[in-house]
Amino acid sequence: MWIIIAILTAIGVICGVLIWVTNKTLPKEPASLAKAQEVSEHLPGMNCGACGFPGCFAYAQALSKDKKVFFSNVCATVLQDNTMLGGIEKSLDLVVDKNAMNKKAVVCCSGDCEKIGTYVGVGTCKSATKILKGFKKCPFGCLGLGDCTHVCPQNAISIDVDRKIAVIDPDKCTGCGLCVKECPRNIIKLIPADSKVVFRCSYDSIRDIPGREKCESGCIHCRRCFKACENEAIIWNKDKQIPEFDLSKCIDCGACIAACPKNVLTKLKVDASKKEKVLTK
Amino acid sequence: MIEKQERLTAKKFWQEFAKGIVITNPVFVLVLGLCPTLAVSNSLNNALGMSAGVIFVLLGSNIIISLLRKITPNLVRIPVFIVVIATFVTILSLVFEAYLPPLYESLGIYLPLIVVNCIILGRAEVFASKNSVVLSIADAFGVGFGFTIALIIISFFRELLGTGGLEVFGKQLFSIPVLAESPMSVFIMPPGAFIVMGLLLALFRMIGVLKNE
Repeated sequence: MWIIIAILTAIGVICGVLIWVTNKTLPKEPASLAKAQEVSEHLPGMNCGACGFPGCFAYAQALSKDKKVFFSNVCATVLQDNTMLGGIEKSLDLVVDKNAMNKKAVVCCSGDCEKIGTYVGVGTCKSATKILKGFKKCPFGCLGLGDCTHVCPQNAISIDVDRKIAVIDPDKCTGCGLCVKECPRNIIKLIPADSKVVFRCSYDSIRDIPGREKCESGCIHCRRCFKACENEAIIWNKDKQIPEFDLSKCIDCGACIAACPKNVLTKLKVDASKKEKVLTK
Repeated sequence: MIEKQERLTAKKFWQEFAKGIVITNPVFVLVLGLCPTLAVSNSLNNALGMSAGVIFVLLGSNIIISLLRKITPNLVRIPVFIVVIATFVTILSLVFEAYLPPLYESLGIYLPLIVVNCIILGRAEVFASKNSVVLSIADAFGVGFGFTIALIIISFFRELLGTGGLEVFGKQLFSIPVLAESPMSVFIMPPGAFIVMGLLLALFRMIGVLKNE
């Protein structure tokens, strides 16, 4: 009995020594990992994956190898937080123009779209889109089933019960872009955070589908906003027949918003009175 | 007398070696070690890395267990096997992590799972604990190469159909024009492993039956 235990212990000890010797002869932890450790201390640590890397430490590893990754795969949470941004700038020796990179996500749909039928299937936008391109008349309308509300790490997205579309709170949104990837209809867009006006329609007139005419609340391509702007801040995109905005010239006068007959143009921040109707899911 | 014995050993060495590859091929004949076979055969690269790992562990554990076969008490032989195998797997994963980090990441959990791979434990129990060191080495190489060949065949078909091309050590060997644009991605996913494995098993069984007739 004791001999058996002794033999087994001896074999175990010998094996342990073998592993220890191997471990000692292998190269030490590379310096890049220590750098990544330092960078990761300035990252939020939520592991939301919005930057495109599997987690904050993977992002830190990529940053420590090539600091330009910060511009191609920006971490929106860091951009919002001055202490974290300062730490990153210091440890990576970067200069970041915060305002130029700051973005907000907006739902480019005004809602109130007519339905072509009643949808009773699985309650996600992804499933609903697979059947006849969704149950709304406009193939580019928000279905309001809330796929985007579940992915938002900031809880900034809610469903407006009146208009049955998703609404993003610009105060909470960090512009990480997770909802942009999630939306199966591609109607959530990232716009510069200092935008004054938002064009809330995604209808693409080039791809007219018979029987799927554009909705009552969508853009009618009347050009009134283009004509109303006195500072030439609105450029008319002739291919898509939609207005585009030149932020440097916009003076936030609100003329285009007043001129729009369909209320497709709105301010970035929704009015307080409208906000009360918003229910958080 | 000595010469004759040496020749006998050499002959037996090659016999054991060939036996592991064809007659008792661990994957296609014994159907052992299916977990790594099905899981990491999605690309040729992973298959080669896994095979190299299994050969290393098999060789190391067979040598040590064969050396220890006379002092190992029969009562605790399985714990001894596991301790020895786990040692070599730990060494292997340390080496892979240090020198081949991409392979280490893509093999993931299947690298430490070599510890409970039934091929290795099976060879230790059936062969190495009853035979001499030289024969155990032959057996380890034979079974190891048998496993490698099986894994290469499966991963060849899976990667070819699933991605439309073949890639080894970061080098694109070739790609089929039409297939590369719309590959049958089911083959690099788990169901594809079962489909390819099942068809190959049926094929080898058919060959065996035809031979016997």
